[in-house]
Amino acid sequence: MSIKYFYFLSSIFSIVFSLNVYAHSNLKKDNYLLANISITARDSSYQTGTNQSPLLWQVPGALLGGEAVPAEQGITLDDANLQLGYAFSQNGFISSSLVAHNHDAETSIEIDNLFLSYTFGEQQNWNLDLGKYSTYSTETAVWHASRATYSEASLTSDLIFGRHVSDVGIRLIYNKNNFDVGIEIGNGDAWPGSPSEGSINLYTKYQLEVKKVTSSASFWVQHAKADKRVDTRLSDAHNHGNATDLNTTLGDENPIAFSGDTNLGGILLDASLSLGGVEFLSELEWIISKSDGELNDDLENSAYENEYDALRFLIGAEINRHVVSLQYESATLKNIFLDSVSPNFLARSYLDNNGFEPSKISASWRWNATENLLLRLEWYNDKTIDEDGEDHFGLGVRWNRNFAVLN
Amino acid sequence: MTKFIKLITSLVLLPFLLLACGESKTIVQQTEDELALRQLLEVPDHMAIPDFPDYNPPTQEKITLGRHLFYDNKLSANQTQSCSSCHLQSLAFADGKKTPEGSTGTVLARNSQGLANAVYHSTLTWANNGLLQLEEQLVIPIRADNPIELGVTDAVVDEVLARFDNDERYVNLFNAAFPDSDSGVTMNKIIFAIASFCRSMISGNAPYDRFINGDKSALTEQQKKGFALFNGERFECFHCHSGINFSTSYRDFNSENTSIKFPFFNNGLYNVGGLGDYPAIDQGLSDISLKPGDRGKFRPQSLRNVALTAPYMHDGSIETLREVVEHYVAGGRNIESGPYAGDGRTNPNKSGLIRPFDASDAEIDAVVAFLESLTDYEFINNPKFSNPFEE
Repeated sequence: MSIKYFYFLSSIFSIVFSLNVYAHSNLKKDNYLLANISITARDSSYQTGTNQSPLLWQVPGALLGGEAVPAEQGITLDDANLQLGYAFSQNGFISSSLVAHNHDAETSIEIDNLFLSYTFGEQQNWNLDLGKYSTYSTETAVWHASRATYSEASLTSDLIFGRHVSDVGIRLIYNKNNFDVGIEIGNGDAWPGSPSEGSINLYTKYQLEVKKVTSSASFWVQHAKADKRVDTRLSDAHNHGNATDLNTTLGDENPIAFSGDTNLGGILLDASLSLGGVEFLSELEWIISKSDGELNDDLENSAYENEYDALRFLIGAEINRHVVSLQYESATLKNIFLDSVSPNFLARSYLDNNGFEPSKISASWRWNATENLLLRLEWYNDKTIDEDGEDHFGLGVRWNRNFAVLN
Repeated sequence: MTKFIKLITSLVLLPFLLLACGESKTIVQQTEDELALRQLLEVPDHMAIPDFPDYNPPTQEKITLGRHLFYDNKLSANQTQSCSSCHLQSLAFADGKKTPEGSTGTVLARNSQGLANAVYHSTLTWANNGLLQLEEQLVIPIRADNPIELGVTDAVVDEVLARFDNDERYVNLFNAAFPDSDSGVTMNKIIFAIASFCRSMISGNAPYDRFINGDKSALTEQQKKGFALFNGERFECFHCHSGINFSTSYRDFNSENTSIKFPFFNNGLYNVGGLGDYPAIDQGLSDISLKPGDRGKFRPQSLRNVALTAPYMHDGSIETLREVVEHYVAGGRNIESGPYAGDGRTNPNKSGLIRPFDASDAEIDAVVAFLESLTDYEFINNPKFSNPFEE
């Protein structure tokens, strides 16, 4: 599947869906102060304890990084999120978000978003954002348990985006009745880029209603550049792991780095249908990522290319305060070393997957117990490490509250 | 509505069909030339193809010639020594001596290094950041006049070359190795051939190699423990002895010139007079760079077959492998009396990685046991590296 063919199909999808739409929420400027918290208890975690480092989740054949840390066994704070939006003038708006994550018994807090937004144009349909922002290309690129359907990040999100794309830069959005089109030009801070190397993202979004069907489609392409990008997910731990499990004498002191270009593109379609008091939901997302560059550590290097195809499909139904949903994800991971690297290097890169295609099934029952409180029972079939996979359950609570409308 | 449902259904199914066309795979491309090189040099699958200069691609004929020259005393001026005098196959091509003697009896300053996987080092010899290829290094033992090793100085070089020109066996070997040349035997050809032979000295079938290739019983429990300690943050051996050749001084066929490291470290072996000096006869990299801060800096050696290459360090001043590990546990060596008295632990040029730490006897034994797992008995018994004149 060539990426050109992908872009061609995406364009067709975009045209098909640009039929009849209404304004998109990106330009919505209501004041808000939101708090979101997600806590989940899991009976086990397949993604930990099976690799080089006890807490390092590696999908064979994938260059992972960013914030794609494994789901943990036991009770854990998935994330807590505080969002503030404030219109300080008729055209000016400030948006900010503070996020806390818990991993390996440590909690980290970071500014997820902090940007100034300015709306302009005769019909107020232009918008300029400046600062640190999460991408608008797809929600899969901006995953937070406290806002997402499931408490565990999607495989697609982890493989392609390192779970979370938040960059410093400038974003220009144009909104016209039935669609948004936007361009983001950033520093490249987020996976799959690396800081100061630059990233550019172009997206369109369409929404359409036909009788009882509400649907939307989005299409995006991104180019990111990386210079000596390494997997820093556990860099603070400085853990060389259980060395006798390694096909190497090297630890994290000598990580394998990627330098080069990554081109990505994706389509996200969703549709919901209301029938007899039941709302049927569906989402389909398809992403292709291609990298071309070099892999190297202190000792070895090789020209390198990869192509990742990721598919995510979700169906669900909502009845009163109850929602059941089922999500299936699968990916094909192609890696080509253009030089004859040693198997030692290959093993350390975790890129030799012997044809393995990771997949994950996520099922959940969610109950909106109150306006602010959601309980969720989840079941996962996780085949992200090997074909055998593992089933596990999660029981979680998600709390959301809008504290105030600031005027 | 029906049309719309059909459209949605098509859009939903299409990506599944497209995804079904793809498949996960990992390809390591090797050109035919690379495969031929791997086969010629018998490089194990888990090791990279070694580097070589464009002007001297290895061939079997050069390797064969080089093997003969390596073992032939005719290559020394007084015909008393060959390369093999200081590089014995049974000792992984070290010689077991503190420091060797040259062909005229001169005692050399530095310990004979094992030659296994020498080609994977980014620099050659103990402390010279300018010797990057075997072809450059070989000039020294063959041609140098101070100190004399094989002693093929300008005064005798024609005489030595004539010995080979007048030997029919060598005429045939040289013609086979250099078929496009009609210049007879030259020093360059000798060096190119020996370099090719040394380039073929690849050791990669120790218990450690079998272990990393999946045979989890290849290492004893003690060796596995030693492996973990070797890579741990207390012993920290891996900082200097990493990768498939157990040295950060590394280069292979794929290495980019911009990414190759040229490491040299002072490990606190001496601190003569407390001012950072090493014995005057050998100040390490400083003798080349003339920088005071480079005193006592030497290249981190490959640990392949290290159990066979005693005594240790650049001057052979440590007798056993266990004492070497104890040296690093102590964070250096304190010489209390004699001409080299001084506390190496406080040498101002000492690497920051060499710091004293606590280790039990059992832990030291485990690390030693792991190092012993790097001994490749197939390598030291392989006939292709043996003396051809004894066949």
